[in-house]
Amino acid sequence: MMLANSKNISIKDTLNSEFPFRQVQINTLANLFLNEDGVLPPCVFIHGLPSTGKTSLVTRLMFLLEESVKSSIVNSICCYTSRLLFEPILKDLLKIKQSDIPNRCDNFMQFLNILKQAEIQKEQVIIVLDNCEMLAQEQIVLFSKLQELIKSYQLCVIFISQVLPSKFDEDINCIPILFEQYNSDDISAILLRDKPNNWSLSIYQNFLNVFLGSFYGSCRDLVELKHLANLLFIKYVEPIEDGSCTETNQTLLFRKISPSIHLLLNNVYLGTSLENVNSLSDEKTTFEKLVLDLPYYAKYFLIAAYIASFNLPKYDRQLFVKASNKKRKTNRLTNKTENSASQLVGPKAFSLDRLLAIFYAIIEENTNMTANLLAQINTLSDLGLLIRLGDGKLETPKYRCSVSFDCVSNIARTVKFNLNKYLIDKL
Amino acid sequence: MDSTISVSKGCFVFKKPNKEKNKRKSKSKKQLTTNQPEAELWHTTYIDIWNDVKSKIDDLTGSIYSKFISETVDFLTMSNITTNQYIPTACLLTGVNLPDHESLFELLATNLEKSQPPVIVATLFSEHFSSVKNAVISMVSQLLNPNDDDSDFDEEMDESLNSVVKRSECTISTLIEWYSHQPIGTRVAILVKDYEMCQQTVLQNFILLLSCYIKEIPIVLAIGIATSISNLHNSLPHHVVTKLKVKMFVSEASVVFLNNIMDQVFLKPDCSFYLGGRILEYVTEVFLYYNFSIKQFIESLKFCLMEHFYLKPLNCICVAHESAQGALFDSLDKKTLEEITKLRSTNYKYKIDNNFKETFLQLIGELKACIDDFHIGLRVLHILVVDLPHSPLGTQLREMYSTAMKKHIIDNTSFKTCLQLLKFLSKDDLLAKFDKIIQVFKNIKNNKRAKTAMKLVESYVKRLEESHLNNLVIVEDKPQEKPKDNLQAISRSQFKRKLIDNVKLEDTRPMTEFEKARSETLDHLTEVILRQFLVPPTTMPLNELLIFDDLPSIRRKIVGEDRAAQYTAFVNPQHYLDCDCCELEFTEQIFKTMPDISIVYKLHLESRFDQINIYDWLQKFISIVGPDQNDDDNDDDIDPVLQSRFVRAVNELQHLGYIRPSKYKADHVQRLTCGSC
Repeated sequence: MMLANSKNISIKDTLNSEFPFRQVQINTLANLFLNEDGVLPPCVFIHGLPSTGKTSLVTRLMFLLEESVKSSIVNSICCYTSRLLFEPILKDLLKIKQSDIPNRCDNFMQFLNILKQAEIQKEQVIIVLDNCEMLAQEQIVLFSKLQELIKSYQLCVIFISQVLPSKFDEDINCIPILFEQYNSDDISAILLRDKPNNWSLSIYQNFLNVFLGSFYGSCRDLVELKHLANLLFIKYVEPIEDGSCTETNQTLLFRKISPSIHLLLNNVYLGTSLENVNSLSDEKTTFEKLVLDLPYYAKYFLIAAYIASFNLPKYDRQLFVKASNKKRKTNRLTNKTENSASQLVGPKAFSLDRLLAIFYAIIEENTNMTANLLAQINTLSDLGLLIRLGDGKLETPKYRCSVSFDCVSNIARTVKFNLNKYLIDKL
Repeated sequence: MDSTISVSKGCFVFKKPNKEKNKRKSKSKKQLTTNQPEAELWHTTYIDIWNDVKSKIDDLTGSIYSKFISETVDFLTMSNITTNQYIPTACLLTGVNLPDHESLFELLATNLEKSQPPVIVATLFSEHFSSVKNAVISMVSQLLNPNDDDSDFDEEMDESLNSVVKRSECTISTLIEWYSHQPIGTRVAILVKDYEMCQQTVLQNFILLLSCYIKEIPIVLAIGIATSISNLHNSLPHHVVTKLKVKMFVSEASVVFLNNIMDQVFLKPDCSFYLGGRILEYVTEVFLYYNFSIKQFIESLKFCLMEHFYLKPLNCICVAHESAQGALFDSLDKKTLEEITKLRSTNYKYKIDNNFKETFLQLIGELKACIDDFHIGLRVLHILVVDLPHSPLGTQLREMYSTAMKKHIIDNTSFKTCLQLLKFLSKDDLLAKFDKIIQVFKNIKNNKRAKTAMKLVESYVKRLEESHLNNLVIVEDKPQEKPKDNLQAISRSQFKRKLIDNVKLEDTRPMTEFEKARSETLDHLTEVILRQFLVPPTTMPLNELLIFDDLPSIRRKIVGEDRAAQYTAFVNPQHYLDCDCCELEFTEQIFKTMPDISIVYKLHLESRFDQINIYDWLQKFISIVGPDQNDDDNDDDIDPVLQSRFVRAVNELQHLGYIRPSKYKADHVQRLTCGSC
């Protein structure tokens, strides 16, 4: 008895040292799983924002409990069929190979039967379902009642999700455990653990102050921050390495690093796409080079689609009939009012006929309606620049333009087309 | 439109004609035994030339893509997998030329498979992303059955029956087990071809799923994005993006391919297929205006080639080797010979006589020499004008080619602006240009004119080098001072003209020695070398036989005009049916013998309104189709056979999208098209 107790305490200590600032959660988990009588709760629901240590802590706990408890950890994303959900669990719990599973296990009934036959009731069993929001609703309900169905007090199901338990439609009878987000001091302390060996603590501490000061406002994801800190620290210590600055001159260091910080701040959540800060500035230039390049007619189609989406059909006559040229000019003067309503409402659907009519009105040269021309519209919708609405019937398909004004006006500029002239912003 | 062989010809782009030609090819092979040597001749000529062109294009694509491909392969094979939990992902920005992506990904796959350490590749298309299950199954089955490289979805289904691994067993766990038998260091590359068309949620889950197994299997991803990288960031949520380590690779723009293919394959004298200016302009226009697709561009040129040789033995003789031409010419029958005399370019002066063969062969020889010179001249011209400001003649060889093909380019006004601009060049620039021109001439062998031209250019260089930049040229005979006109002119325009004249006179600033030499050498170069070399081959006799410029015959076959074809079919069914009964005198005519749908269509064109009353329509239809009968018959009696014919025709029209049931009136239909479009 005493032996078990001391062992439980040691597990708790290990977890606490590995996962700082998680004492509350570790205590709750320890109370639930590290008790002497071997009775487990039926269902535990762990939730919290990304990178707050949910999965890693539970995985570690399962590893530490390995001697006394049989466990199976399944990531629900991998379970795109129910068979792929049940069979890995059986494999882990019964310690058998895939091929040894007596029959195909396709539904919950078979799963239950196999578990019952294996006399699972006699041992402590924990099933962890990570990312459980990916599972079907009824599967979650069934798993939450698994203890009842198996008739064993030694079986527990742990759900891990980023979604709150109350968001699931039906009430799941479970014990919720919230993993809170780390605050800035926590993050600073956690990041400090990753200090590169060859630099002193004070430098890294200073760096982290600067770093978190700029980034904590826009990003609290620990994984992301870790990655960014690694990127930036190399840049930060460059002046010290080449001798142009001393370790203590913090203002100079800050001045040298701030351009890089600005560059990275715009790319916070794209962070993993960058290997180092230098590559970022390279890619910056290539980004700018990459204006969307489309074939000539496709450009006009996109412009026509934009005009069709953001103008009401009743203005078409006024805009495109050549006779009413004068009116157009006056309109152009008045449509300068900012914050237009049509921009706020978003693009409206238009029919293929209207698109073609506007296309022919704005294009200068005479083109025949060829199969290739019509294929352009489909190409645009394949590329995601137009959205095709409806069920794809042959009869009068409808579209909606899905690109921004900036994009279209850039394209219009390449074909020397005055887009503003054709936009009536007022409703 | 000329007579066509199939009804569908107007609608299909070029696949259909290809197939037809293929059929014909096989037929012509069967007919080998019967005496039809021409049929064989055109085919072999075509195949020879096409294979030649094709191999050149393949080499070229390989070399253009090589940097892009090798960088991508390096990234996918070298990037560190073990240290972090990210999937190395190459984002391939491939441009919007969707039809070409398939070949690009094939090239990438074959290159990956060849690389070290071994990489096993699965290519996924948007249709695989209907569900995660589908995506995993097609990925695993492609990986486990490497021989099954046909990525087509349906065929895969069939083949998987024979293959070792069944589709139902294609799961990640099978993959892990399979991977344990692979040599150490093997990587698994998954190529996602068309990112924009994939269902985003499925793709996200698929990536998350792959990231779960990154520890067991070293997976690398390559995603083909057609638009821009921001699309990836916009559509993948943060928790998915963090699973990836993205690196961007930008492939060359497809316009670069076009220019390279034109410059290095088609616009070279050693390519025995010569394109006319109009055709070239048209196919490049299709490329630039419609789709940016190299594949379709090459296909349309292939079609031109086929059209040029198909059943035209004369064209084949022209490209044949000189030693064989005589014998081939003898095998021609009289009718073909007469065709030669009817060619427009000979001015109908050419008559069949005893020297017919010799003159013919001589003319062809001259034409070929002219084409060779033309290409030399074109390259010289290209060197001269390529980097001028505002590029009056364009920057690409193909642009100059099509201009020069039509008319002598020296007489072109843009060329005159070019010459003016050239006369402002600095000494170094001009000498550099002349150096390059000398290189062009040096590379040409067995051409007397090129040799003399080279000597001329060398003399220019010498003269320019000797000329001093600062020495003024003493103009001996100064233009005598013109008496100042009285500017009190009568009209405004005369006054203006006089002012301009005055300015010209005053502008006789003394030239330096170099300026004089520059202006004179350039004039000489234009008049002597360029005028001689850039004679458009299209002005030579018999040029139709070598240069393909028959735009009207191929235009509709390269870019189909479906609406126009439908309109012709409805309005003038005789055009396609080739029957005697429906010959039209004017377009509005309607005959009883026409197909029902054609009659119905013509009647619906007569309606002046948007809404068409079906009953009236039916009455009109019956009045045309029905048996001649007296008016005293009861109107309500409608022959059910006629009515059903009418309903069927109307249904067909609706199916084709010309009308639809009206929402407002039950017995009306709405017309969806206006007039002839």
